[in-house]
Amino acid sequence: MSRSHVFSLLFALASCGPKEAPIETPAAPVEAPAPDPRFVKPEPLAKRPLTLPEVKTATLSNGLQVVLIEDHELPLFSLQLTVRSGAFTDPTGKEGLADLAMNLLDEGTTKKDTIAFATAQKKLGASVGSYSGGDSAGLSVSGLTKNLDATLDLMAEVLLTPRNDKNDLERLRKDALQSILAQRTEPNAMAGRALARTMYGEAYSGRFETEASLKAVTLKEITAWQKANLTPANGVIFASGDLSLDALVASLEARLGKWKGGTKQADPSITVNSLTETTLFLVDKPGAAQSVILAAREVPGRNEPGYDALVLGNAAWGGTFMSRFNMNFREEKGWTYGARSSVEDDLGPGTWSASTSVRADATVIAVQELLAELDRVKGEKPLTAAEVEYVRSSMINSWPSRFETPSFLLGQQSSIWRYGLPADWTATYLSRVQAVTPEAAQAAFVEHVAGKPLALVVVGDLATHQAPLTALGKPVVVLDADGRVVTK
Amino acid sequence: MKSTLPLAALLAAAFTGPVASAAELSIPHEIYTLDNGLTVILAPDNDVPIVQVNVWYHVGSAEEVAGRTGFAHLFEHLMFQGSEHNNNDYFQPLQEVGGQVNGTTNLERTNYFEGVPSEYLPLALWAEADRMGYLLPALTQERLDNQKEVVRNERRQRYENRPYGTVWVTLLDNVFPEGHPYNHSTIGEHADLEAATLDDVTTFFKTWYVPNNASIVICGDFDVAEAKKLVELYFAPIPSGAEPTPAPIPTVKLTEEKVIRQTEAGAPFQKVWIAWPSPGVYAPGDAELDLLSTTLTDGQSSRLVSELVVKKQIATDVMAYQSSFDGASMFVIEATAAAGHTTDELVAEIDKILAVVKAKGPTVEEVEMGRTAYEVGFYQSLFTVAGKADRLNSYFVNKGRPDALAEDLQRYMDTTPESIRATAESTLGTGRVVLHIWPATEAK
Repeated sequence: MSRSHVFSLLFALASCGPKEAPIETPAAPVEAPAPDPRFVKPEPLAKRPLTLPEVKTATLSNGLQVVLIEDHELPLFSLQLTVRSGAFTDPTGKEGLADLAMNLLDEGTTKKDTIAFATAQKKLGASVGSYSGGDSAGLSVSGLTKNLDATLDLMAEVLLTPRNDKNDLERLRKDALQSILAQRTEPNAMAGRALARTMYGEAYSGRFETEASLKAVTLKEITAWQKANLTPANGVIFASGDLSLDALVASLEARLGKWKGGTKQADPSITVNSLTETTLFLVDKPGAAQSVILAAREVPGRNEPGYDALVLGNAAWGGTFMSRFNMNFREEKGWTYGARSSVEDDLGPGTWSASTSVRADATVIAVQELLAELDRVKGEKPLTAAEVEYVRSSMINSWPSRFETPSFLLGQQSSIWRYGLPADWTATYLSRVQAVTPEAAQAAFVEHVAGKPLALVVVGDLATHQAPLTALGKPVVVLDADGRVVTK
Repeated sequence: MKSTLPLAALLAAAFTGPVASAAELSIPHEIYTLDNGLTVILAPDNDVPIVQVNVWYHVGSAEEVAGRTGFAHLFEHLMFQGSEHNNNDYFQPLQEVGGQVNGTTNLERTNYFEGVPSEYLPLALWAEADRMGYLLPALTQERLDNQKEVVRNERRQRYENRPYGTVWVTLLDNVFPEGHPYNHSTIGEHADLEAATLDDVTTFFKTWYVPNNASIVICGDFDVAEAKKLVELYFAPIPSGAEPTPAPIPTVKLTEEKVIRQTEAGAPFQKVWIAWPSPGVYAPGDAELDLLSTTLTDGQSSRLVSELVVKKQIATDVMAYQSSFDGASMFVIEATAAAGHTTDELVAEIDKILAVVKAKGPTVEEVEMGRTAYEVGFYQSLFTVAGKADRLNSYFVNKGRPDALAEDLQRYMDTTPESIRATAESTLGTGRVVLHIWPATEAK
């Protein structure tokens, strides 16, 4: 790309100088004056070598796998004990169980209450905290390498002998109830909830914590959940930093060797509510200065045919600053601060989504333009080879930067473990990106996105926007801040 | 990952040895100045084959003139709209080669940065130099008008259409008096953004975007001799301008408490912000206030969290921080009321605890824990070349030399329970701003 750019620039310089008298038989080719090198887009230097860090693995005597990427630049380490459990294990009516169970876990041990446990961490310059998401949960530990043993003592203590105090639970329950209120008022969260409920219905990804479900969770259920899910058979340890595998394994073995048993949690089956035509889902936010527009549909997952082609097609259409979607909505129309689309994948099918926040008075025209921009790609303006090559170049060239810290590679290892991806998933990335032809990227984007019905959520002032949006002629459903259909 | 940096060894020494070894910390670098006044800082780090280019212009919203709030930030946007010889969206050539590109504006400076694969160092320098030297020929009314809209949308998205989104605007407006350079926030007001003209852009560029008001850091895997040649080629011919005079930043003292009560339709619960004017970055007391914030709100065992959140359960969170700027800063405590409690209860409780700290100071153990947290956070900020490059530029601008790591860390080591107590007493007085924001439905 850059070479041809230089040639065309030279050509342009040569051809737009002052008009000269015609030369009948030039004795030699006319040379353009050498362009000032300061002003010509430069050629790259020689590539410098990238050495990929080694991924080391070991297995503790209790069967727990340990994955380590060494990084000795700073005298720090971090470690995650991850289990294959999360919100998807919540029974209907008990949404929030996994969340509360993990939140309560790091509130102290049988020997240390919340405050003593926090002090112990601070004295070591360490952090031992729990987390929970949709399909994974665990403990996240970081600290100074010189305090490795003492920090892992705290991790083992809280994992094996959590305090699970009733008062702590009530405090955390109040926090969770309060955060529901925040979810209902932050416009992007409102759009995300409406979309999830619309797409997934009663599957776990469509269910949220409610006042009723949080109040229904008991301490007994929480301790049972911890026992069933926090087991070596259900987990793995990912570590990085200034550590050796031998020292790490010895330290973990001494502390977690007696932690045994359990079963691997089965993944849920997830079905998507398919739409037969593009449908508008409207959520009211009275007086909003902007409207959030979020369009989405299900697409193939990472391990399915067409995924790589879709990723490149999406990147060209809306995945980067320079893509059509952002250039149109931001740099040409000036309706928004930014517009992007993405392909995401965890358990179940993948999700394609496009989102932007637009000035309130541009709401209707922006919805129309989003649909039109998708129509154009399947009609008069298919993705060009240049657009696809541009994003391919971007993806390939940004590869070295991902290895600056161990977090990307550990994340890849985590996905391989969690989602059953091929072991060489990281190693084959560049060849997978290379293999997609521009035609395949275009075809995949049309097949899975542009030619398909979308769920299109608008969060904004409905007193102003509902009537004109309805006049667009698409089916319209009004939802509340929890994504439930509003019936009048 | 592998590292050939002496940094690793030096840091290891800092952690295992006595505190005094902080004095040995360093980031190897070279610094020189071009004839046109541009400061160049080169810091090789060959961990992975990437290089970070980081340019600071020593201008921020503090330098804006009356009726043009938000202009420094609007101008930052225009720096991405193309220049004479790179007359395209600035992202275009850089994103193509995998570059991570952005810029930020704050009260006292504007920075621009791109991380690219090492072989594209010439491209990054060419692009930065072209907009430093030749921005105006590419500027059009159409591009200005478009970016005014984009920035106004940024204001709507990040400030107006977010619960509590305009707090920062209100705090600056009230902590810093009328006429003070920090009296208004970087985002500015809609009317001022709309009023900006091409003439304003030209004047601002010629006044502030001169090489003698900028510094450039190159950090990462590159050859120093090659980088010097490239810097010479692209930047040396850019003419210098008149020496700009940054806005003087007076220190601020409020004499009385100013209570502001707002209601917000979109606010989910009651929140309160208490803000005091405080010493500027690196001034005496600045490090003390950083450590005071750890004593007050770092973790469940900190004074305010343990009392308000864990024991009394009248708040769901509370956070204290020293927001450091050149010349004058703000120390802020913000808290969220638990259901059934009011922000007035929180302020009363916070004041009780502050009175104890102001009288007796933190314990030795609290100070030591705070220092450790600071050390760890400090080193974590050096994990990436982007973090390192920005730190070098920041030290250069604030301390006059790029590598002030050891001196910076030493400030924290030099604090004592008494120095923290004394700073708390002199800073956290009655002259302050208390901003309550309640849901509209709970208005008294």
